[in-house]
Amino acid sequence: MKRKLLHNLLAFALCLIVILPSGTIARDFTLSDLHLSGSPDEITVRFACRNLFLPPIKKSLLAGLPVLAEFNLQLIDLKNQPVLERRFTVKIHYDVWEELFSLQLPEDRTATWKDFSRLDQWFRAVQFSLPLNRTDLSEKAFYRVRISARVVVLTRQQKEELKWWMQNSETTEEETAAQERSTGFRLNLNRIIQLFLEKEKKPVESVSQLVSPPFKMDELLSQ
Amino acid sequence: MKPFRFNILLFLVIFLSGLFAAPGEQNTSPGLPVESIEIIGNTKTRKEVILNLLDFRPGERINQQTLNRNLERLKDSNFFKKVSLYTQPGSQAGQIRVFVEVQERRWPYLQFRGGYNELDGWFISPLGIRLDNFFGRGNYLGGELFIGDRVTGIDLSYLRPRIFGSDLNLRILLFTRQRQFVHYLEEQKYLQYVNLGGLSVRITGNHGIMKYLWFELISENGQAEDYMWKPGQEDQPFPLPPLLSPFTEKLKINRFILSLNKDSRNNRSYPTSGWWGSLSLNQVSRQLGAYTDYKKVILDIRRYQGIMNEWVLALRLKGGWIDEAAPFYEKFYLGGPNSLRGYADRSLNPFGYASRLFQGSVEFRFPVTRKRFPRQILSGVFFYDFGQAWNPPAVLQAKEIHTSVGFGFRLRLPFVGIVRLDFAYPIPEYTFKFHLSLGHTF
Repeated sequence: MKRKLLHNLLAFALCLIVILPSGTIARDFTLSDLHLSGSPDEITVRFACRNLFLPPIKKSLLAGLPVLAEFNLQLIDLKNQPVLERRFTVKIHYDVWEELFSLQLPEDRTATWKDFSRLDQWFRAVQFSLPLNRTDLSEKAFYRVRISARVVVLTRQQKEELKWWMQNSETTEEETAAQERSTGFRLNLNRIIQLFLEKEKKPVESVSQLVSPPFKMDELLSQ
Repeated sequence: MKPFRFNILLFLVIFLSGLFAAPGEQNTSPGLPVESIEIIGNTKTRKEVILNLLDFRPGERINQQTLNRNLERLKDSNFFKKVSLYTQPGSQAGQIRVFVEVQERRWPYLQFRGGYNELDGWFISPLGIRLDNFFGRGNYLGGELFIGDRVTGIDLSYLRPRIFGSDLNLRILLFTRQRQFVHYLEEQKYLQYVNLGGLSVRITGNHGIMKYLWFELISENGQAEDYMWKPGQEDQPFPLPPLLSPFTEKLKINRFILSLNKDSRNNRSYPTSGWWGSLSLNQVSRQLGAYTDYKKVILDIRRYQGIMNEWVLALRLKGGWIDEAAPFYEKFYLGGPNSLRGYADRSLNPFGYASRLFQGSVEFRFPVTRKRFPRQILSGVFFYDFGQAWNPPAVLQAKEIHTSVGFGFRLRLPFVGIVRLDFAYPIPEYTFKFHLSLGHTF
């Protein structure tokens, strides 16, 4: 009986050891499933963003704060020197009142979904193109594609907060008809002191990077 | 058609078109029902105190406009260093959970205030101090000193929210003012000091019918000085004319004010839709002095209607009535930057001020710059003002109504907010008048 109990406890402990760390790893924002295809004018890069919507990011998004996903695509040589580079920014926004998720994509393209899973699905097959200038590239040399991604919640930073506070002065006016028309402004002196004494806060953000195996340009184009 | 009849007709057409215009850019969203209100970050302030600052409850429908208005209320309380008000989807589709996230302030609240008051002119309050939120109850004790070109005064106030566990707030104010009143006698400008002071007890609320009602009881002493002087010549006093002499006696009164208020403007900065309305009823009973009891009624209605491309039609009508027995410093005046802009301050009322007032304004407002709308840097306005201030046996008469037209600019400056520049012309003289003030005219 005791042996059976010990056996069960050991099995449970083993499960914990295996499951818990893998669970933690699975919660990191990662880029995966990179697939490259080529045409004479461009390289098409397809990849998946996993766990992009980590709890703090999802919470901020659902609270109506826009989230910015920035992708930096680079074609690099074997010395890690960029040969080509292109940045893409995707703005994700949730309209609380219409209950709609919307994406603002490069070249003024947009997409909207009612369902969060559809939004998540879009980030599982992201596709961007790197335009090629063949004269700059050698067909026999090895290259790699490096993708750097950063997801950041667009909250106001301290400098912006000061600017916002200056521009949005606290205006005052009379409360009832019994009072004379009175217009003015109020400066919260505590706020000024606080803005200058407070440390700069870091925005909520996640970053990840993915690099392809080396390939030759002519091999890629012949695929 | 006579010019004044044309003016009245023009105003009526514009006013009615404003009232019945299509909703245009109004935020008419019915909103979503609130599933719950959750408060985060409060270590000292009681939950009921924060809830009391909000004007909605779980189960009620709210929209973005409601959230914006309530965020302003939370910020205006100045109990917090930082406040955010945000929503998340509720457990059922079509519902929302509202979160109030606060970071409390530990030090006493300090402020600098300034502005322009129709009665007192330009003023500053160099330092206001407030000790507040004792035991997290949302109460405060504050003091403020005013200095202005026509006023000096001190306010000491105490606010106690949720009296007897109810949703009502109590404010006690101990105040003292020395004001300079302007008189025009034979086209000469004179000034006269009036000293006022007293204790006011006000009851307000943020919920139910108390969102729109306000009661105030004031015990007040007032006395006008027995001389007047020409601006810049205070050392050369003039005796008071007989009409003003009775008011130099010390007056002690009790005043009861019932005020009905409604504010549905979509924003205070550049409203493009909504109403602002206020009806104030004063009953004044004499304790000491030569006057009889008197009543005072003021009705002020303002309407904002977006037309197109952020152009706004803004309308205002104000009427006032007071017993003739009231002292002159309780009565109405007309002319100046907040009423008829084609005329000098208080130059259109009878000597000794008026017991009847009727005034209105029509403004077409438009943004000149569009960046950061509705908080754009520069906007313009075309306006038309009209009004009459009189004493019985005179009556409101179309031919006695003064009118003026003009244009102006509203420049948004850091810290100060909107600076108002108005260029006005009285009709039919068209003699130019310039006014500099703060904020919108109404």
